[in-house]
Amino acid sequence: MLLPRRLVVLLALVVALAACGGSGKHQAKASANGTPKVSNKETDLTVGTVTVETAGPDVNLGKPQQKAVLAASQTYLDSAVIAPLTSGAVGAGFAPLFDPSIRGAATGADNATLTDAPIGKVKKFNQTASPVAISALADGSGAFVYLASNFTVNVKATTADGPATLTKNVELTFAPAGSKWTVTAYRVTALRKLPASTASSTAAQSTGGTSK
Amino acid sequence: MKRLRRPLIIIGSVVTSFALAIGGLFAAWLAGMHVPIASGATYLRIEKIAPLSSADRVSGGPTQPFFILLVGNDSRPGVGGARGDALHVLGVNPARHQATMLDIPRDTCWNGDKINAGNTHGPRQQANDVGGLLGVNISYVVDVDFAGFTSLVDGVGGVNLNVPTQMHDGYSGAYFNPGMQHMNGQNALAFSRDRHDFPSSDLVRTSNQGILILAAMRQLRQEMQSAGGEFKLLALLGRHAQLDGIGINDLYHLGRLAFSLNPDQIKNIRIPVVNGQCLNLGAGAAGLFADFRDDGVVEGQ
Repeated sequence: MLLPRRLVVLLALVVALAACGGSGKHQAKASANGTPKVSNKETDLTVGTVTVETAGPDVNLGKPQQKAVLAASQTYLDSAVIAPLTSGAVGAGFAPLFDPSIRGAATGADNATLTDAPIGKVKKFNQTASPVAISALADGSGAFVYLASNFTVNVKATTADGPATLTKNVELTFAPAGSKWTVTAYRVTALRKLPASTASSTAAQSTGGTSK
Repeated sequence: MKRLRRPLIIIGSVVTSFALAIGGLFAAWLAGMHVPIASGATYLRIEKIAPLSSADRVSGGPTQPFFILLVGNDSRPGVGGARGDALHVLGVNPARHQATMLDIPRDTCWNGDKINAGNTHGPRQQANDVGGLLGVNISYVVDVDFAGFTSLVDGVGGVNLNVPTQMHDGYSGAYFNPGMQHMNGQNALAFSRDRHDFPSSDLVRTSNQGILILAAMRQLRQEMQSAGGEFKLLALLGRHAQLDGIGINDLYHLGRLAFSLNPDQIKNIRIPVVNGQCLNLGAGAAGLFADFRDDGVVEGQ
């Protein structure tokens, strides 16, 4: 009778020790790996409200045009936000999004705001995004001359120096360029709460230039 | 005693186990929060909130100084001709990020006639006449009639305006007390038309129109902070204004530029004229125009 009772006590201790070791196991796994894999569940943007303003006849924004705006916004999210946090570098799809006349600014002076390259690769992160609000402007003939997307991204990340959060509001205005739509204007704000050592590397923030 | 001891040991073991388990979970939670456990060290959490950074840029905007004419014409049911009764030239210097607006009284003499007559031949002729008076090349014209004006103001939800003086004019329908007021299109039109309340008649009216334009810019600047808002305004302009030298596409670029300017820093100057039936230019006009002409910004006022 004593043995089973001791077994009960032993089992209880084992359970307790196992519970104590829950976080340690998680940390050990992370540290044993050396280069922890960034966990990233893809965020697929969705279309939110669609607003059409027209200087001419009433028109509707067709699904193909909505999809084009959504796809470009998704490319922005993936290349400017997700890619830097995952790999430390801006994705290849970023620069081609922009009209040549503002591409230099987007990849230069405004890059630190438009992209999250300054944060660099993080240990892990997860992100949420609001639905993409689409605005459209049609001219007197009813042809669309501008489309715009507006969405907000929230990221919670763990950097080497500690937790970080990012809130980003993105407005991209597209103009037709042949059969494609390219970004002809942008308004982006980024609020980054970073561990002290990380923040110091992103202290120099960019703002709009002379062509504002 | 032995009987009592064994259950106590069992119960004690189980309670201890649970306590350890809960303690372990709590420790794990603390570790997750980066709180040192029983280290004896003082924990300081340092978080730096980087300043909100922003990037705002638009392609295709002008880089050189340019001049845009804003016209309010008197065309309305029963009154044809569309004379330019409100004439305002906005000079914009993109590089300096500054602007000046010159208010032109409608009765200013030009080529032996009142300058507002030019608009009866269309916005381009009006731009040529005003440009000739000032010595500048006016690239763009936005011209609205009575109906267009009221629709524009109503379309943006009215305008907040600080009425400078008492107004009580049956001709224009302007009945306003001094002070800040929210005006719909009809009231804003009455305000901008009132001249009978003032001894200097059209001169004060011209200045009041300038006040109204800047008040509208001030309000729109706050409200048009998104592409959606800008599109709404552009669509309104496209429907209710006559545009010359500029399409919706260009207007978007110019609008982004215009609303990046602080209206409080835009100088609003009525050109000096000498009173009379047809107003001749007054002293200082030549110097003012030269100052305006060189870079779109008047320095010496």
